[in-house]
Amino acid sequence: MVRFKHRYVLAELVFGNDLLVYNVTQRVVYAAVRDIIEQLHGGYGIGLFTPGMSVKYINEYTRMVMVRCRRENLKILASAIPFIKHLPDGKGGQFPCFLRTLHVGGSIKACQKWLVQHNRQVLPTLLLRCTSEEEKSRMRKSIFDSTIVKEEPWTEGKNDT
Amino acid sequence: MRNSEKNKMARFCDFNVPYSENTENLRQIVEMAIKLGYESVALNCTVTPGTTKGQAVVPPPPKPVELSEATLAPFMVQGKAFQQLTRLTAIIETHEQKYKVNPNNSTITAYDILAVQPLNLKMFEAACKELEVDIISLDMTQKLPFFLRLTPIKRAIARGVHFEIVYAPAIRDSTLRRYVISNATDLMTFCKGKNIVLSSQAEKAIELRGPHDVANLGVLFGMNQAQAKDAVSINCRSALLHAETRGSAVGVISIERIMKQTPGVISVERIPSASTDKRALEKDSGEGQDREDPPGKKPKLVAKKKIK
Repeated sequence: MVRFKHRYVLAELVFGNDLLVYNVTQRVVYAAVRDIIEQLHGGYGIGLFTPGMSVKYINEYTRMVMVRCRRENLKILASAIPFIKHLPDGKGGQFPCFLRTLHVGGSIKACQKWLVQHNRQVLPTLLLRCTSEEEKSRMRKSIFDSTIVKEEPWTEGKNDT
Repeated sequence: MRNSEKNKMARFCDFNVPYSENTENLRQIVEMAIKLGYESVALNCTVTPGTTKGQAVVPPPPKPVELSEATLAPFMVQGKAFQQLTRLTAIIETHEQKYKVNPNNSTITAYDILAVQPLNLKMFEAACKELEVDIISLDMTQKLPFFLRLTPIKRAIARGVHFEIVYAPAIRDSTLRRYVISNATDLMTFCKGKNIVLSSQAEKAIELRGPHDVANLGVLFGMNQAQAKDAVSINCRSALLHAETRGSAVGVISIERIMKQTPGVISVERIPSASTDKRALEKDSGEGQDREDPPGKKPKLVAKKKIK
């Protein structure tokens, strides 16, 4: 089967303040990337870019973005991403923000796998941010619950094959 | 990039965080650098050496920024340490200023890295050929006041001196971006991607970029992928090693003794001359295996020094 080869750039949105949640949509990120490519590579860049490019995934809470492009044009996208310095907030203003490239993958699935592993590594650092002991224990419990796979209790008849 | 590869790779460095009295801002920048995955930063003091006698030439090196445990958490999880260095950048224009940048001066040796920023062709050639410095920095935000030439640059590369490209102005403004890109590609035609250090000179935390993004910027400046990645990791490290060999008396052997290791902080005592204390040597060779130097990098530099 012949298919178009794509590259997926997984990036993290980094804001000035860590603790706020910003309202960022796929359209906003798409427009920002497009603007920068136009500034940096001109009409040629935009022309190459428009066919394959889209923002495939965005998560406001973990601040992850996945941008897709054709494999041949990865260099154009990768060189443009560092120049993003703010995103519009939808009310006419803009807030400072930049993208930090984490991973470049060949498929969405590969990126998701990487992301799960990455998040698992980041989890323990959240523990140090907690201020009170109660908060800490709750955090520890939720990390424990999310990372440990529980086995099904053995019942007669169910596990027989 | 897979996680296993990530651990093998050399540590990322940013050798130009401008030092200012505004400690809050400085702390924010350093914290952002930690968050982005840099493992060492250098606080940079820029000075113009005075020409009159008796004038204080160089301020004492800045103290490292105090960091909380929570910010150092990403390193503690991986079992690594964060390193804060000091760097002096001297802007030189005349011969008198050139002689002030003398590595025998005790205030200058107190800094970890020594850099110069020549303002004219004579000083540029002097910096490339004879000055005992580690990094040559050029102001790329305007048209260079002189034409770069191949011979001095070749000589600088042979001596192990590195050239610096600063990227934060390119992010700040679109006209500055043009100058930076044109000057950087110009420099790249002469040194062909070798001995380049990419660093930030960020005035705000938001102007920093992650190491992989900086490597992508290097691709924009005309390097290939591998060279661009080296420019944020291995080249920085070899510039630092160059500084260390300069600090030793003969320039042949430099010995580090790791005194104590508390989480997040390594304090290193430098022995200034080629010590003959056998016990110290044995102890260090034992510890040296644990350090993650790029293989073959240090002996190569030492060899160069010997030839000279």
